[in-house]
Amino acid sequence: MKRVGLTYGFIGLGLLLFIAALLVAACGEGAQNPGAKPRVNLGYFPNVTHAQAMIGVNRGDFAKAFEGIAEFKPMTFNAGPSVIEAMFGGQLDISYIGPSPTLNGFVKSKGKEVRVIAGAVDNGIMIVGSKKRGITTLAQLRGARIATPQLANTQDISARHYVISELKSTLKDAGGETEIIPIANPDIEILFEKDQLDAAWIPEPWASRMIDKGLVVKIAAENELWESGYFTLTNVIVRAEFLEKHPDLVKKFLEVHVALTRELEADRQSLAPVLNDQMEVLTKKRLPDAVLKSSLDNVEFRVEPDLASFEKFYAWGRDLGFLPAGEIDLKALVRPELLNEVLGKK
Amino acid sequence: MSVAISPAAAGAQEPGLATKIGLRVGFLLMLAVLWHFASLIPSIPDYLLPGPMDVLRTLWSMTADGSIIRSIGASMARILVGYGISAVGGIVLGVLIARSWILKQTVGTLILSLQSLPSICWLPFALMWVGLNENAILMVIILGALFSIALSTESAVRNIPPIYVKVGLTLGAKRLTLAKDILLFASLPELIGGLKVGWTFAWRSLMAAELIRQDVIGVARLLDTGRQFNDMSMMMASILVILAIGLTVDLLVFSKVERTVRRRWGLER
Repeated sequence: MKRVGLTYGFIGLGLLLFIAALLVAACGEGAQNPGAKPRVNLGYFPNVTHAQAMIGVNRGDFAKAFEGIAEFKPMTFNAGPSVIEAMFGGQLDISYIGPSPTLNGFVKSKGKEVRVIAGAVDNGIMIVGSKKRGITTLAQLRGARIATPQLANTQDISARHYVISELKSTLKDAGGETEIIPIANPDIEILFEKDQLDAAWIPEPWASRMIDKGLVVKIAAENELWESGYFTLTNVIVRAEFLEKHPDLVKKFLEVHVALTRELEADRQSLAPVLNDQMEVLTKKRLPDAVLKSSLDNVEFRVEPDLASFEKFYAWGRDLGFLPAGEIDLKALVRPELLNEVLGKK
Repeated sequence: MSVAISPAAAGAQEPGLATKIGLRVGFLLMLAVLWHFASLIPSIPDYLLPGPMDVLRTLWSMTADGSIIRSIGASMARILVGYGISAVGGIVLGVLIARSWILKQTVGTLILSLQSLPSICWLPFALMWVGLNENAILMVIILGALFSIALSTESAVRNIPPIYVKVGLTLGAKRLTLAKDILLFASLPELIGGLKVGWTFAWRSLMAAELIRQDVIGVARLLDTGRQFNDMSMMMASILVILAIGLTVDLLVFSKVERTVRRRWGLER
């Protein structure tokens, strides 16, 4: 009898925990006190490719713009999927992020959660070859062991697409000759040191850093492979509900974002020390000046979101089986209206 | 050799096997039903909490395309090798420490401190030292399970009544015979408990290593791949696979061996 009582006790405990978990999940919407100032949670990566955020947070441009009207809170992330998770959970309102996780968030939420409100940074992806192995041309990538920073991220999709469609090679996962392995950027560096890689498809500043260390040589910049000569590396997304409820705050953010982008377009190198200051705040380390300079030279800054980049990455992601088959209208994803208002005013 | 113990001494009457299984299955079904209703709550979108049917569909498609089988195969191969090395190494190390006070003070102390470090902390070192290959994961599994098995073996050997050893020595047992026929046998019930804990450590270390390493296949990799794609249904399906493996090994291997040994040693009916 005692044992049966204990069993029921456990069942009851399990049920209680389950209901508690549900309640926590249901309250995760982050209901705000109606009287309190709204919050603006801004996400970005501690990286050169998120330059506007790094500089704007360090100098206090965003904090100043939201002073008195909203509580501004910057948050850093290491990878796109966690940005989307935070946005799904209602914990993040605006974020700098790459096109691939943007598309993923849009498609997975059936077009409900994510909106692109501006572009930020273009290009900045390098295809590099092992110096030890003498890999210097794109043709040598056929049958090679190529590293990308993360499965199904923007570089991973580009590399896989290039190997299959341009080099007409088959990937090792499908029984072919060319191997694409997703490995974190710092580990890619170790593998080049240990002579275990032929090439890598990587973002700045890692490309400049490995070139600077003499581990790799530049084979090509990815944008040279694009017909237009450029593609989106970083864009700005906003949580759909936040855009609907607080267009004024989104517009305020865009004003700062546009001003920062214009500043970078005019003279990027003069802002390098500010960027490096923020890098030190976030990672306790500064980038070597030469690496930062070359990284900044390898990117372009653009406030207009580029629908063509999204269409390409969407088609490639679907071909590779990373995104579900079927058509989804990307026009609902890219929403430049507020940006146009800001640009028209300027 | 079994020793009879009266039912009264063994405590309350155990329910029959059918009742036990029925209770377990019923409880799981009830959780599934609750989960189903929770997934219908409109304020929780299905990309945050997919229903059990969605997850089952994902599980089926992952089985049909072979990804689950390949992943289970890869993970099991890793853990069998890693755990095998840990078990043999841990038992030898544990017996040595238990029998030598010098080793106890030196190696024993070191093991005690290393045991408190989660083995996944070794992964960055493993990557740099042995490179990006299977051996790095193997190193993490071994460092996760070896020390725990060594410590529990040491305690099992120490808990053997000294009279057994004395009888063995009086009857002329040499070192190897003493270790093999007396120490190992007498400590077996407690040793199996230690091996079971070691398995748990090995399994957890493997899952952690697979979550971090992107370039391998494995069951925890399925979970992280689901995360990369913000695919909650794939994540939940992967968790079910991980749970199922853990439960299967526990029920089919350890619980059975433990019960058999305890019966043979007269510790259980």
